[in-house]
Amino acid sequence: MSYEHPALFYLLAFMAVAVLAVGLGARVLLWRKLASTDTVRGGGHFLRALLGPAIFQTRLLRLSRVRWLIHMAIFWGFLLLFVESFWLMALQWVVPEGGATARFFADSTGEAILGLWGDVWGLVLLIGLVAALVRRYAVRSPQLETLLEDAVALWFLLVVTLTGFAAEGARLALEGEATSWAFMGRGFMWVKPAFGLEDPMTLFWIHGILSLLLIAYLPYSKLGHVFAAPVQIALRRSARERAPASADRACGGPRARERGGEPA
Amino acid sequence: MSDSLDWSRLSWRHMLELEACARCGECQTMCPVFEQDSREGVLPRGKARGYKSLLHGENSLLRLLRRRPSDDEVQGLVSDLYECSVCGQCREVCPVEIDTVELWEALRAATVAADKGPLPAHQALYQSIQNNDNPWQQPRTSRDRWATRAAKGKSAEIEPVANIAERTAEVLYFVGCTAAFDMNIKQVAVNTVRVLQAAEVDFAILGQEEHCCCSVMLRVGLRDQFGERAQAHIEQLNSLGIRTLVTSCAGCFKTIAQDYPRIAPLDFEVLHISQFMLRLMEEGRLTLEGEVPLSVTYHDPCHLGRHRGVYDAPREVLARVPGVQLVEMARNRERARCCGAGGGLKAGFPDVQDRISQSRVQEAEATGAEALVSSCPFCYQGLQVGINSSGSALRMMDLTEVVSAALQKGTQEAVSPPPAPGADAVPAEQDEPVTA
Repeated sequence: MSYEHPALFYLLAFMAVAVLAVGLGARVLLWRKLASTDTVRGGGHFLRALLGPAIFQTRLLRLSRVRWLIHMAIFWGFLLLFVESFWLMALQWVVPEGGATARFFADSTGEAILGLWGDVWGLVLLIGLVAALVRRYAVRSPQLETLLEDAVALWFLLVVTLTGFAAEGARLALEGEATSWAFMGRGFMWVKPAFGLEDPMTLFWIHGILSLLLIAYLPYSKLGHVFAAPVQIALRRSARERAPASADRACGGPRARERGGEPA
Repeated sequence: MSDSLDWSRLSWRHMLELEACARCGECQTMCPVFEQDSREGVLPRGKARGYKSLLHGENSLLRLLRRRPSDDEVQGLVSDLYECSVCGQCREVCPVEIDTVELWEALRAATVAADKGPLPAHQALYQSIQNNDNPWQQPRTSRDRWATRAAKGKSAEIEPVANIAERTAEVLYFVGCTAAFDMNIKQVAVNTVRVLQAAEVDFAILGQEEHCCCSVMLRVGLRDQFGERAQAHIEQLNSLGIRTLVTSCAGCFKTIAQDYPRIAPLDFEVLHISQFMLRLMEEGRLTLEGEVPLSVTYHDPCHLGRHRGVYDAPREVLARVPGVQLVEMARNRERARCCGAGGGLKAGFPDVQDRISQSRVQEAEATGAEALVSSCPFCYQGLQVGINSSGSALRMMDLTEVVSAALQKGTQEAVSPPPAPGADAVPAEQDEPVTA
């Protein structure tokens, strides 16, 4: 199943990504305009750090397994759902129609895999969001301060996630659920009739528009750290790898180390 | 309208760090200032949000839609920026690894460059350094007073100490302003010399020609002024022909070992006295024949531990002192509580520093130790504030005092008597205390 007006949806998607790009680009331009230069070297170190400690948040793991699990669930759930959306767009616009890849994802097995992928990572995201909301509003962790931006970020993500499941439920209601592995979608098949939505595409559009708004909103919100934090961690780690911090017995200027010799 | 800060003092990395804060609040669990003054503004999370908002409010494309912060709000941000000992505890726990120490110092420099800082108390310290070459408002000529008795051959503790102007030496003992000028702490210098002489180290001091390392200027944002003085200081130190510079003060150690090389290369190695004593012990040059039956707990100075990664050396030194039993505090090493003295906090917010110090002293008392040992004269001074305020029975000691006590055969008492309860840790004629 796809949008009845895919061109309109992808036009809106393009606009959302453009707003996101403007938000990110404006920051970079602002930094370039105002800030002093700071050279970054060591691309290899940076990439290793980015693909390791940065995206797996190893320091948070050392601090708290629970908080790490919550954050990982939200981060990876969101990211892998985004990957699926990107793949669906590629199937629509890039992958040659009638080719083996397109045929595989058009038949029941491919569609079931996509349905399962979306539901698994959607569920992971949902669990992470619910845990984060419980920690913030029920447990009231003393280390959390809740401002409007914190609330908007979490609730916005939750609404997008739930409407995603509802849209999946509507799809199953329309196309039949016999071969689908979308276990979460089945659980949300009640949404469309319960809200009296006659057009099955309504939920798709609601979910789609909300998702695009979220993407556009990212750099202007607390969620901007999704982009900044991994880069920051990778930069710090790679800088430390290139110039290890002094330890108990390794202090001194570079020329002193070159001189070596017997200790005084 | 001019900007509240000179943003050019920040690098793009600093601005990225402001964006990267995820407001997770891990910093809140560890911040020693927030423990005493529970305002969001003093938290790293609050500072990051405040300065990010200021950055965008004054400079972004959408600034016309944003409300520009009032002068009072900017002044509040500046005050909160300085209500921080820059201890680096938040840097240790920040999940996105923001280098808060560098960030706060850069923001302070940007504040100073826009004439919004530092605080008046910090200006007084700077004036003192300019006028007297020390932040203690003491005459330059009294810098080597602690060694006067020895020079006259009247000291029972140490032999006369050579001045490097008189003869070259392998090692320069860099005393630092606190140990040189604070009458209650000069014993740190005396004990250090005693240890060096016992190990027959070829060392000398600069005497009245020793300059302030100017750590305080860098910490409170006087970066340009620091750069000028540091350049001259590096030239002086490089001209001495020394192989090793040894400091008592963790603040001097960090500044000379870490900050000076950013100005110009050093021709010598820089060691903290804890590292140097350990080296001497490992080489068999410093042997401890006496026994010091004492239960101690060790306070990691921020500038030595978190900022320079020196955690093991002082502990290994303590472990080699016969009779000494080390009991760790609940928070130690990377998680060690700050004494609150550094980063300009003690000068700018003495009441907050007092409470932070008391908190650390209570933690030390909970170990059941008889003495609280540190390896920084400035922490010594800062923790003594807490001991005095809380009426604690704990004895404040410097690492060199413990080692010095073990130099003589037999069972020893620690050499120097503790200051009388309630005694000021600084000479009476001094103004506000200084920052490391």
